[in-house]
Amino acid sequence: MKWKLPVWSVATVLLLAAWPVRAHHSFAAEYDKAKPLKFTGTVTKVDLINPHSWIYVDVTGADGKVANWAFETASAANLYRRGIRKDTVKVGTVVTIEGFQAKDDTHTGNGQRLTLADGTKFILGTEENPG
Amino acid sequence: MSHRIVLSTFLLAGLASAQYQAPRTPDGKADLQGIWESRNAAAFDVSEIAEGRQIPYLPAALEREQKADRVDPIAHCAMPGVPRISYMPFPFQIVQRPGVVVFLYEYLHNQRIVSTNPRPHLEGIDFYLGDSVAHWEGDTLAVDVADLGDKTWLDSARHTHSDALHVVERYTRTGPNTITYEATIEDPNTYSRPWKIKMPLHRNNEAGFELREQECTEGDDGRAIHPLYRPAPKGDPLEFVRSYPSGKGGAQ
Amino acid sequence: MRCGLLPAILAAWGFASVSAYAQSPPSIEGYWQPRTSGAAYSILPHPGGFFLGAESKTGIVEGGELPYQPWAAAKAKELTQHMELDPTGHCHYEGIPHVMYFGFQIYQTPQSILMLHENMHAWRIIYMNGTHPKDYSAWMGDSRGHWEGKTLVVDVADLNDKSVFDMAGHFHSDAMHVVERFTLLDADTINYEATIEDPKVFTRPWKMKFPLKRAKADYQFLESGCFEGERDAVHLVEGLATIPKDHYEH
Repeated sequence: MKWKLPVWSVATVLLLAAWPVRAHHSFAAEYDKAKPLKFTGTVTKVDLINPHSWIYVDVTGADGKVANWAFETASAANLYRRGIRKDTVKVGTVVTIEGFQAKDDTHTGNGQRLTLADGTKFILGTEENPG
Repeated sequence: MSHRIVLSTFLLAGLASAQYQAPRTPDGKADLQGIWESRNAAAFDVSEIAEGRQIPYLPAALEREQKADRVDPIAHCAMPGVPRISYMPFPFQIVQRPGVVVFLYEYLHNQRIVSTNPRPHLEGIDFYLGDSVAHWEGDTLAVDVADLGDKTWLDSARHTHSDALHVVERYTRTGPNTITYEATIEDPNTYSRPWKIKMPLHRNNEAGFELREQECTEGDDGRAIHPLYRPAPKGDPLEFVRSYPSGKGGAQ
Repeated sequence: MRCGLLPAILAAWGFASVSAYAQSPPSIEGYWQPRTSGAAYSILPHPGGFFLGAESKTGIVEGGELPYQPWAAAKAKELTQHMELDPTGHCHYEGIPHVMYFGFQIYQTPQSILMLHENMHAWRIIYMNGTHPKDYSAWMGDSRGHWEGKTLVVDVADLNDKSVFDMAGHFHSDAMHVVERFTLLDADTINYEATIEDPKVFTRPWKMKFPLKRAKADYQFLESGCFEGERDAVHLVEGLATIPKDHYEH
């Protein structure tokens, strides 16, 4: 059985896009369970996307310098099932976030737990099945 | 087939539709099942199928678009959104079950499970293909789509929208081999008024035709190999897009 | 979606009775959640904390080991050290049988059975007629099914060699042939069993097995596409957005 494309779509254009190379769920390669983190800081950005969402937090270090940390979390769909909506984690609010640091020691973490200013808690980590 | 023949066929189909009685599913609904194709170039420029060939952009939205420095999201294997998925140049299959209409798209294995039981839209979450809730208006399946986010484009020509996009699609069986597809597109942050697109969907009647897998894959050079965008042999890589300017693209 | 269906409607749609189990063939329509003990991390027994995943004392492979040919065993060991090669990490399709570790909705008609997964919006049509196409190769392969009593038997061919079994590097070739058996044990449980045959990689056919449990009636199917988002925007370059200047002058 032959699969057919509409004739005109075969003549198409060059795609110049480079492929994103970062694997998205290879936790062992990216995060280190021996480097647990717990920060309280100000949310600067929330990206609720699949396969993994990202929460960005400004954290003031012991030296008084502010660093922006990126925390990878479960998918938008799974966060939704745990009660997180688009406006749940607001930019500018103070939250406490726990997780594990990236193996490469960048300001990147695997988010496991989140506590909002009003004390509401959410699980951020992935479930048994990744994705 | 010349444009003139296509146009007159379309007009005749339109006249015939008033009398046409769609076949029924066992629960008495219009039967939309089968494999359908849009057979136009709207995925490259949606104004081809826009009412009056005009998109009523707000000046601020036009400015936003012109400043946008982004690549067509589908070039990165993103789902194309609604209504774009309906006019991607790939076949899709409709399957009906009691209380549900399932859309299986060959294009990057997109899928929609559309309930015909009323419920409010989900809140506080966006999906590439939105949240679809349908109802029957006589023999027309009306699909109300919200929660579409702002990450999709309507076409490759950078016709964008905001996360206030709201789309109502209408599927009407107008003949044994045609569905008339209409969509009302509303986005107060982008358009000055709701506007409409309209196109025929053609049934694929080829014996033994089955949907196949289209995947967006990664080539040896690290570039995405998109089933729609393949390297042009020579010359201007954007020639194909430019050959379909607003109002000049034709249904094949 | 999974509303209380009247027997008359079911009958009209080709099913004999309102009881899913009593029908012949049985109705397996619904949303099903696999219980795989972290098979997506490894299909073999693995300790807790492996890739931050769940512990599995059993894995899903019958006998707890894979009958690799010697060269393949060496390659699998090597792949374990190269998780960046895992195609699902690049938002590729999981393929069959890998995609079956993730929840999915079944719609059933006499002619075909649809399986729609949330994860990576994967779907497949299991045709209850016809034969495998020639010269076709796909992540999901080509599925042809038939009923043996309460068991849906699906023959999957035309599989490519790009998919893998898990994140631990277990792999196969394009000679893989999969026979799946979905057996309805009771109204809410399906036993899933897949026999994997690949003479290029394994010394004999082997089996994987796990239960599927019916989701609660109010389960909401949510799109879960795989797209990296803005975080990877730095990898992107100008492409189709190069639109002629006069484009907006409608």
